[in-house]
Amino acid sequence: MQLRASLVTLALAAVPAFAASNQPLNQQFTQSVRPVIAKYCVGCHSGNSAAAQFDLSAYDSIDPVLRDYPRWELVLKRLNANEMPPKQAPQPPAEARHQIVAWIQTVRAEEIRKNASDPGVVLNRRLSNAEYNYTIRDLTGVDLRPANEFPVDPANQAGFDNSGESLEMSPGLMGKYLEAARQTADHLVLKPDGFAFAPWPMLVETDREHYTIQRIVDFYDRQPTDFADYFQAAWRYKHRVALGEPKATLATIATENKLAPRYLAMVWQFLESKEEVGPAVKLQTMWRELPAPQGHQPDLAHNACVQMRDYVRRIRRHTEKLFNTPAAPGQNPNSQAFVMWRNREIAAHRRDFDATALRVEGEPPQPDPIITRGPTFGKGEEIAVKQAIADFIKDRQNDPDLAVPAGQRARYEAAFARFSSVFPSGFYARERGRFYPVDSYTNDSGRLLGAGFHNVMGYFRDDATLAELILDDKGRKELDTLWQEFDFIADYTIRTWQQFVFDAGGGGRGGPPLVKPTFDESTTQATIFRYRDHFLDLAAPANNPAVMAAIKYHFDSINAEIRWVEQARKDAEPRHLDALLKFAARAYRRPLAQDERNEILAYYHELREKGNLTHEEAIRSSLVSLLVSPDFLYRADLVDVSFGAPAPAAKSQTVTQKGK
Amino acid sequence: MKMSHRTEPSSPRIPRRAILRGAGVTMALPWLESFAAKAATTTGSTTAAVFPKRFGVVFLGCGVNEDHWSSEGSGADMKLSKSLSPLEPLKSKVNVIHGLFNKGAMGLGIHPPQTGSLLTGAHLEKGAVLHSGISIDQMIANHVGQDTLQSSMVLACEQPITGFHESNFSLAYSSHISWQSPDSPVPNECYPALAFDMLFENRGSLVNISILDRVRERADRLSRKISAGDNTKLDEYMTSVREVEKRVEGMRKAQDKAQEEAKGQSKPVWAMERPANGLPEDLREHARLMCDLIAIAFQTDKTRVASLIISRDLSAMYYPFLEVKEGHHGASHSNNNDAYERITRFHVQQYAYLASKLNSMPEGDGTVLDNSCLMFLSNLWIGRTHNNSRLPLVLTGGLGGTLQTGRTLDYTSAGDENRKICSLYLSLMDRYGIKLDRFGDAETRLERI
Repeated sequence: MQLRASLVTLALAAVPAFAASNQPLNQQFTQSVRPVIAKYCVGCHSGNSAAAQFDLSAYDSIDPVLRDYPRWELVLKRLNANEMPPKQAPQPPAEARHQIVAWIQTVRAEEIRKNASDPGVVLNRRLSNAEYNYTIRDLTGVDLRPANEFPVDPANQAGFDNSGESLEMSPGLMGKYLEAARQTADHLVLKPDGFAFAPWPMLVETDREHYTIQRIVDFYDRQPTDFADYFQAAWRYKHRVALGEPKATLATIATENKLAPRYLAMVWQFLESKEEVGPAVKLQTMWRELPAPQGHQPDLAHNACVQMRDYVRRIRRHTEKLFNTPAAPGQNPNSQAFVMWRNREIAAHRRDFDATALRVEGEPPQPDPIITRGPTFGKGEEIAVKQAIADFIKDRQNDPDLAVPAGQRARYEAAFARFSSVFPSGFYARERGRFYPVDSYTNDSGRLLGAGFHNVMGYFRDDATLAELILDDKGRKELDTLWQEFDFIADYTIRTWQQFVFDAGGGGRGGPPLVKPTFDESTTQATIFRYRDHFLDLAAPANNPAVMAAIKYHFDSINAEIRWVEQARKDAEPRHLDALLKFAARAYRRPLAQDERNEILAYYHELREKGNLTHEEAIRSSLVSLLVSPDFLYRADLVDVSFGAPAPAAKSQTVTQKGK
Repeated sequence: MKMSHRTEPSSPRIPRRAILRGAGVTMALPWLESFAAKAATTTGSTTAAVFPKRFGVVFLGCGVNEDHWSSEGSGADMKLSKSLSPLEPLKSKVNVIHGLFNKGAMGLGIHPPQTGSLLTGAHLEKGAVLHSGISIDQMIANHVGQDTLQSSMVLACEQPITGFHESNFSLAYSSHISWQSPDSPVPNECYPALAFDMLFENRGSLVNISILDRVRERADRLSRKISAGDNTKLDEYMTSVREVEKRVEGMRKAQDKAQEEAKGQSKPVWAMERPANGLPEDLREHARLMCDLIAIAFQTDKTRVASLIISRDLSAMYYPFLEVKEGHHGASHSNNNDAYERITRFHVQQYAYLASKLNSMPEGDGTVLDNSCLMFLSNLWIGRTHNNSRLPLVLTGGLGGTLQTGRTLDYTSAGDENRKICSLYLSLMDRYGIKLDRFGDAETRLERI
């Protein structure tokens, strides 16, 4: 019913100069409606400065009322809600109020009768709440649903295009729009090549880190790195005829199973090669003994392939090449430069193996594996860590596949080297704690991309093996970009550095205390090099080139990374402005005119220069202004007028829910 | 000499997030809508004025020196121990509360899980995804902060840290005590100058006005191009924009007026110059500026809720002026020595400074302090054992005559059910008109408070 009524109001608005054909209603107007209005309303609603720019004195008959019916619909609402006249003004008697209400309702009913079955025209109108939510989702790529906080749309919850009249704007709603625009802008993420929106507000450091880290971890998790899948694919290739795919190649099978073609070829070649000693012998036996399919049995070998995978994983876990931080008197072995050196060494030797893990008959026992020992807290943790380390050592010592006959070390080492080159100890490090490689036994698992520092933040990229064996050029580029954006967005290098400088660990224990820089100076190249040289001076007497190199590399790379972020931020600003203009065109659902582009940019510059806002603040505020502008909030694209655009309304890129 | 590690430079490399918040988000719109209520209270006569109730929190990380943290007796006879001695001049307005604890923060590991739920009473999540609850200060801000320029001020003298702690809880839990939503803490403002700008340049509302200006111009131009029927809708839009603008303007005028009135009552409204850009190098100056900002914001009713982290959990602050060699966290591992007592007392001094400042600001027949409640607390009791089985806690201010003061309240042997810090939060929120059935692990009010 309400819907029909609003259709009529549209029709009325579109049909001017309506004949005063309804004399009884006109008479009622002049006799009982107009006098009440004259007494209680026109005091404010008249003249040049009429309240709400609504001059009620001008309506002298039903004709102008009909011509301007939408406003009378408003009068009806205000009277019904007792919102008008305002509380402090004299109120009409209830009966008079009812008379006006009844009259407007009768006019409406009469017009509905006359215009039945005419759907009316589509009018410029604001977005419905449903459209608002969909539009924000389309614009940002995130389903934020800000309109859920808005008042419910009257009679238009479905968002029909031709019931626009019922979609009113009010100061309260305008306030909600402003708030929703700000909330949306809080999700803004500036990136080197433009901007995006995060699923949560990006206002706190920890939210920025969470966002960027999760994207990298998700990328890792998507990669095909399970050995079992490669064994199974190799098996399918081997039995391609029996499986009914005689024309299959390694490449087509890799593509079908979403595996890395190069790596599948490598695994195939290794399985089919002839190893005489070492871990490959058992693996190749398992490979040869995989069941042969009788007809179309593509998953027949699945379980056996998983067993092969587990075998490879065990061997590699027990032979992972591990490193101790370089020793230097007067240097804290757990200082960041050395922990990072160790991380780099481990990452660079993932396709290498630990020769000390081999137990050669007749040789004295080899040393225990190197396990990073961070500090423990509390007896419980100490016991758990000790137990985890003891278990690991025992497992390794008891691994029958690490036993080598007397005098055969060189031959076996070569075999282990070939095996390890194909099967890395890991393709990437998803998490790292204080007790690498036994973190998963302890409390330390789950520290995504962690560098293994104690009590301070720190991240380390260890995925070179993934890039080398699994990724194609596109994947490598994507991963590089994700890591660059990690620093660009979450600022992890600079923040880790500042913690290092100002935290307890940063003073260079054992040497003369460094004079701490001021906060603003802390990230300059001069300061970073001052720290570097200080640590180099401390380490010099030990005369260990590895130590000197580790220190130099660490500080130089921090400086380079911080300088990169600085420059990248500067370079990105024009791209953010381009993105802002593109966003505006999408928000307006049409191309922008040149003067509109200028205007948007001028506003940004005004915020920067006069408002003294930062680049990011100014972009956010510019977004807010776009999201509360009439071009965004009103569906001008539905109306047959050129709405300030060079071309007629462009086809909407955003969701439009059409009525019948 | 640098006092702390700071993670946010003043250069525009990093967004000044807190300002953005000031410009909108949680703050701007609620007060737009309640402007009418605000106008009514500030323009009405001041004779029977009910003064707003304020709430402040001052936080010290890593606990106190428990040997020097005690109080006995009440009223003029109340005896305060060494670390509490800075409160001596104010002791008639102080409640020293012993023995409260936050059960949910026990048994999860040390530091971050002992901190992230301190004001929320919530169950924390391990790992990369944060989850706490809404903290008591933000609960109060949501309720009483709607009529002020900012619903709350969330300040810190030390930059937040992120990444992971050995307990596998995020270090973000160590850095934030105020939570507006369970999933994300409120950003800490560390720069006094930026906190000042939010209060005194009304930057947030200026940006709002400029945005509204811009869209109104836009609508003006459009309306000239389109048909009469469409103009009806645009009229509605323009009227709405103008109304919102008027409210923002009105809001600013009301703020100015409140400031004028405060001037009339207490001789000069205590003037404060804009602090210098950048982070103060000396923690003493930094803490004093932050307290001054809270005081003046409370006095001029620009905000009614504030939290201040002087040192965070796992603090890396250095105290050369107290002749303490180690950093804060390191020192807390021998918290029963003199050095840590000096650190503790330094924090109480800052708290006492804020309370005295508010107490020097007349309001009605009393002072701003009499209409406030300032809470001092730490996440630990004994740093060397990471013991949080009871928490050091002081309340100052009569909260508009609803809170009796000058007492020692000891709950240490009241039984665990009767010494929940969340029960205290329920009792305090009652006094701000927030009646909840439960908060955190508490379903009952604290007795005797």
